[in-house]
Amino acid sequence: MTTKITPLIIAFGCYLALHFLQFFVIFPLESKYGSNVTWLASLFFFPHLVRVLAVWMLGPLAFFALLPADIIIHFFIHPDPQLAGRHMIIPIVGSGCAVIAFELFKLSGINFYMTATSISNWRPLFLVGAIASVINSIMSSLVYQGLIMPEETLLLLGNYLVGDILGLFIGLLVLMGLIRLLRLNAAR
Amino acid sequence: MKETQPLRFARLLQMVRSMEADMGISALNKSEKVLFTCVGDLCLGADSPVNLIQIFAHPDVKKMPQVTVYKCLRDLRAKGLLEHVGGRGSGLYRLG
Repeated sequence: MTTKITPLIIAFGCYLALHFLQFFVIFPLESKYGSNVTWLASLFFFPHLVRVLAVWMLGPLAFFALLPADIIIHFFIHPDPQLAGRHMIIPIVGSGCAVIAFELFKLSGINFYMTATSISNWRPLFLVGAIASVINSIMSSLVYQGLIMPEETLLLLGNYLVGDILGLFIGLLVLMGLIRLLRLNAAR
Repeated sequence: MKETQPLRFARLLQMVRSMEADMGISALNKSEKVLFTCVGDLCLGADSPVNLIQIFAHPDVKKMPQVTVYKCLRDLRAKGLLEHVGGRGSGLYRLG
């Protein structure tokens, strides 16, 4: 039982930690130097990396590890007062976008889950992450419709898309760097 | 194959290595990768050793200069990917 829950707890912890980094470090920096809609979306959204990796490694069950972290962030740590009545949608969209992307590919005959392939490559993962980002962008923009100027909807959609994809790519680079550092230290 | 924690972590490392390889900053150079793959190819099991004669006879290693093969063996041992089995001059290697 413990061996099954531990990966979910790790996914929850990593997702929550990166959200804290996002909301307390990256968002303030971007709102200082970025565009008007960046209080809603970030140009480097690192939690998206955890969404994609968690679903890749753990399957659709990862949704139940990611959702509590999203709820904690959106309800308690960084609640958005303008989202009256729509509070629950953002965490569900955020936690579910990667699952939807993987499942859409599976339905079309291409299974990208870790269990389905014998060789792990970063490119298919990046592709699924990009599709997950599109899903997240469209659905999140729809939720915020009416709360922002109509002409800024496209900007918000673009921000979400770029933020998730850049966050995923740079997050992968950072992960690669950390693993190389660990390998170098172990070799000494 | 059952997805255990170590296997998941190994797959994550494999994914990261694929990114390194695509960026040209892989920990192994081309010759090392060829030699490592050959040893893996020749091994009957994770702990079974392979001797130098078998390594040199492998089609992918035949084209490599002997000096390069010995250098790669030394470097792969230093990186912990291969192990020398037996005493000095045994000529036996296995996967690390």
